[in-house]
Amino acid sequence: MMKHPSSIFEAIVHQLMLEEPAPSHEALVRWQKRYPEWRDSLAEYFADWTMDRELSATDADPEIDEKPIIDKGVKHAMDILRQEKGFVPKTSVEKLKPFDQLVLAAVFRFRGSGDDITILKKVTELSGEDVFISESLNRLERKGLIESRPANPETESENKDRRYFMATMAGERALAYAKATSQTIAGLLEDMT
Amino acid sequence: MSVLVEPLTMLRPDGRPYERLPHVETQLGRMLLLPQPERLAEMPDAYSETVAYFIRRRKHADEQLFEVVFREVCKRITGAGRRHVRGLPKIAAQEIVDKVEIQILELLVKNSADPAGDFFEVGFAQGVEGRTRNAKRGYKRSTMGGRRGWIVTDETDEVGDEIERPIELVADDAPGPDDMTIAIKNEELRRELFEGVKPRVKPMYLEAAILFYVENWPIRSKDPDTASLERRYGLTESQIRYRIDVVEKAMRAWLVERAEARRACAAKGNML
Repeated sequence: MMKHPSSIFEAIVHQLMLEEPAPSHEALVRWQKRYPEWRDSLAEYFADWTMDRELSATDADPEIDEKPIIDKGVKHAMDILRQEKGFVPKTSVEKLKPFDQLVLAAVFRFRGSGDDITILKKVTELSGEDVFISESLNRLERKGLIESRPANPETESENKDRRYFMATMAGERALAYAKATSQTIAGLLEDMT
Repeated sequence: MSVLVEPLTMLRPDGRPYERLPHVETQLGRMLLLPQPERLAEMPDAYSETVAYFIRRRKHADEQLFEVVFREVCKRITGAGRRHVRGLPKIAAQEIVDKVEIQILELLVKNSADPAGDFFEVGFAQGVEGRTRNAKRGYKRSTMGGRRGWIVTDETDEVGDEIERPIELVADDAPGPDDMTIAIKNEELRRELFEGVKPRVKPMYLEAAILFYVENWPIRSKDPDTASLERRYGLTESQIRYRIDVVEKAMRAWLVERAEARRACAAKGNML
């Protein structure tokens, strides 16, 4: 998608604010050489920046009603999220198959420190049989009930090929439902509030 | 214990990628290890760059989580933005802050993959400041801003006979160019000086003088691509010099008044 010219200039301005500590003429000339097509806009921007620095020190922050601006922003951002494929409403509770409940409960128990091997061991122990959990983990992650991260090669070098899993808020909601409906899960998650 | 955080993709002019500040990187590495409810609880104390990261790099948009995160980021945009709309009437200030907030949310939420969003993970406050100043510029140029009288513009651009005050009355023994140079080099005195003359000269005259004295903008440049006051205002050299001269006289007058006020104050002290 083509970017609107104003958003290109806003990105340039952000970049220059990161790189320049003050609005000197020397810096302006440098930026005009870098972005000749924005020469006049840059000159205006630098002039305004100078004026802000020289004249705004004595002015107090304006009295503005922040709440309506913040509320509007939150609504706008939530409206964007609602259009997204992976949006998870806060009232939604995923009802899972018993095996996925067990895997999710095991992930939850380790609170982020469980990798695929430790979770497999836990689920095997709980179910009393040899199991495969990779499909279940993928399914739970696709539904947004767990999230995963690769091992940190610096601090987890012994497990560098493993992935670590953690329950998300949606996952915890699904577990709370599972706990209320399954004695096995309730036993496993006695300490879950 | 921390997690490796994915690097930024936006490149510097020398080809190296931008990097987050070390304290942001450390915080992210730690917070990524936290379960979401704990992460959420830490959000109000997190760096704004960290909050921007969690918005842009979301995999699933959980309503419960993001309502809190968005409220936090909006508070920060509004709080930072208001510092850069000083001197504007309330209604203009609100509209500018509102516009900047929506722009930033569009970039971070709707266009999360846009590499320009990387800058918000490097320096959040700078992004708000830059965008707010830019939006302010838009207002100055808009007919709406002018019509409402939010920004006082210089209606007569020609070399005019309008002088804000009878500055010709500055005494011959008033501070000269050297005193002016000394005053301008002293940051504190300079600000006082500019504030003092602000009500006495046209805003655009003052701007030309500030750019000339403080930032060393040349009045004219042989290189047409180099910023100069002639180019900025579309005026001739003599018109620019006239404007600077008007401000210079106003500054000298202000310095005289200030010196006299101090002398009077000291004399009053001696009498007591």
